Amino acid sequence: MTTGAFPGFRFDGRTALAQEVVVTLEARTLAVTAKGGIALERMLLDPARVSERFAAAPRVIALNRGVMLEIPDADGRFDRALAAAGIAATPVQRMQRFWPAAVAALAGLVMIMAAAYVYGVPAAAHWLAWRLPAGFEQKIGDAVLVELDERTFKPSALPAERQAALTQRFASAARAAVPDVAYRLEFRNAEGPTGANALALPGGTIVLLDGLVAMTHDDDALVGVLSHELGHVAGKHSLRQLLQTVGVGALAGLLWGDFSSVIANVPLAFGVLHYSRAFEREADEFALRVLRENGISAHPLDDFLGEMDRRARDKGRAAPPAFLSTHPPTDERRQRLREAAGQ
Amino acid sequence: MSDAAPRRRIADDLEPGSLRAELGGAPLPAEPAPEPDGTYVSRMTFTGRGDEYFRIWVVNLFLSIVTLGVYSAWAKVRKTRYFWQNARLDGHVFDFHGNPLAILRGRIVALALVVAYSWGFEFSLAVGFASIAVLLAAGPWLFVKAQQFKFGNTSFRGLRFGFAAAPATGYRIVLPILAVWFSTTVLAAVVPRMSIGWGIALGGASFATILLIPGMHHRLKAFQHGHATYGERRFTFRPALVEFYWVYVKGLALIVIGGILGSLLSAFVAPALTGKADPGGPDWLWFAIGAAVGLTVYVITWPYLAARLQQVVWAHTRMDDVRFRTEITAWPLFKLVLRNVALTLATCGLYWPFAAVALARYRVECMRVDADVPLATIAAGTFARGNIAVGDAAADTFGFDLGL
Repeated sequence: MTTGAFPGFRFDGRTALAQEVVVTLEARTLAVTAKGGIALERMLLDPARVSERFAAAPRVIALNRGVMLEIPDADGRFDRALAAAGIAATPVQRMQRFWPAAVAALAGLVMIMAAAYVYGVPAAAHWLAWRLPAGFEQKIGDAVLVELDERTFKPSALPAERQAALTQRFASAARAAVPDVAYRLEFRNAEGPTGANALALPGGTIVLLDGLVAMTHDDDALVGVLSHELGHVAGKHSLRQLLQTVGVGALAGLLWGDFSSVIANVPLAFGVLHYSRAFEREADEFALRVLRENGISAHPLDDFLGEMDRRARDKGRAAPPAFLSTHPPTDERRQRLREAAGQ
Repeated sequence: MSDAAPRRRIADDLEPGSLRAELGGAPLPAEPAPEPDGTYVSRMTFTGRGDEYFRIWVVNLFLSIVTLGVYSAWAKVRKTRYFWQNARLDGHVFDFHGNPLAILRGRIVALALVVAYSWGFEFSLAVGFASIAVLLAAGPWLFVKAQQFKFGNTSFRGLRFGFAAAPATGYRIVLPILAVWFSTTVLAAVVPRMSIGWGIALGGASFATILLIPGMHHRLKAFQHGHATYGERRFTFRPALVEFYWVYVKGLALIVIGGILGSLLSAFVAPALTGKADPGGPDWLWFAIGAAVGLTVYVITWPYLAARLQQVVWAHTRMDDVRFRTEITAWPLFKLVLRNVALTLATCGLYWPFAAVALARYRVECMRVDADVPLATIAAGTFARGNIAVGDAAADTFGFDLGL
């Protein structure tokens, strides 16, 4: 049974000459006929060698010995003939042609990406953080400290006995509450807006800056701040943050890999900000635990946060909206501290 | 032999030319006529559509994510075939025959190399140097393989393109480029940090690298276009080093203009966002400003560089007596890129496939192929290289997206 005759071009693979031919389909048998009725090919059609249908592109069929056919199919008549001959589109091809399927794929994509972002990447980073060799984390932390020492930090101006006293005070508090968390306390000085700060580096190094010591009136507040940083150490937050950044970067790369790297980095930055907020809350809870175990009130830490917030506002730095901030809103954190202090 | 009878009967009836209209086939391309100066000009057309490519793109993306990136190699083939099969020259389309497994292999190797290069020196000096040594040793070979894959898997009128360069030539051309490219990284790792020597060495190496970029780009393009083949015909590239430098100098001026424009823009936008005219804004604001400035520079600079360099490259490329040129110009390309970027941002990326099709249409339809005889005549005299009819096996070692 003949399902149709279709004009097209034949290329023999030996020259680039385009030969006008007519292609006929009889069941699954394809026959190519040249001008003057000369029969050229006749063979069983292999579905894998027929190109998929695009709206305005011709169908390209690879025959044996490098022979190619190019069959215009603007009206889809050849496609219907192929389908009638049992050469139907693959599931993926059908999905691509069918709008509802494409929309469903888009919806699925959004859901998978959201799930990977919210659950997948943090879980993977968490899993990996405790399986990487300890030396790896230590190495990163050391490199970061060397970098900071060269660029930003200066040696601490605090008297040695004050340093020793603070180290001692915090060590006994940490020992009492969380004896199994290993850390190292370093004192540094820094000028400018970063001066009043404390940070936890990968590998357990906690850096306390002079500016922060100068700002606090009560050593209980300092113990609170250092306990917060110890929370970051205990949770391997720096390493997990790093791994999550890499993971979100890989996700963004998959999505926007063929687009400008600027665009690819936008979700990356938001990803980093989002994750650190979860870690800050966790570190706050950890700090509260240390304070509670030592019978230290959370009020000094609460007052200190209020003071930090006032100074930031005085300098004219408007607080960014919560979803853009690396720390949870101060009000929210202080609220939690006051609740804990009141218990 | 029962099915032979109907076949013969149909064959007798079918006189392809005369039956075309009756069979509902596409009209044959008009008989080519020369321009007044005797040149036959062939234009390219592009028949891809944004809404159609959107569906292909979204399904490709979905399957790539679901398979953790493995399907991306198959997606790449599907996408490339879509663009090539919708590009027409003289009534015939191009095609792509890349093997997805080769692309997957290429992507795994490329990923390993990128990770080694970007993290090597963070790990240790030895690992850093080892990764650079591997890149230097394998880079030129991989570049040649990537070109062979790209050209060797592209066909037109049943014949394959190709890339006929010996590995030794690849090393001679690409090795100096890689050496210049890595010089800054190596110096930064070797010279003691934050010393005056560090600053001088790093600054000098960066400056020299920037000065050499147009030359390196020209060197790669000349290598690529000078060794490309179509059947047994070979493309040739006439050097255009001075033109490359001139385009880049003007492009640098646009980078400066773009930087100023972007900064001005953010100077107006930033206070509006924070409600205060204060340079000490929060970090995210600085990030947004950086992205805005970067995007402004890109939108202003890239169209000019791309359009002018395409003009230069094609004007210097020939295939025997076939000449090429592109009518692409900076201003329409700028308007197109601006529109693409704006709509892509406004739609959270959903416009991206439409943008890709619009860009491809403009670039493809700007191409002109000039010859002294009709293209069909040249095609009839173009033969396959050797006895290879189904493509070069060497072309399937690695598939890379180098974007070159």
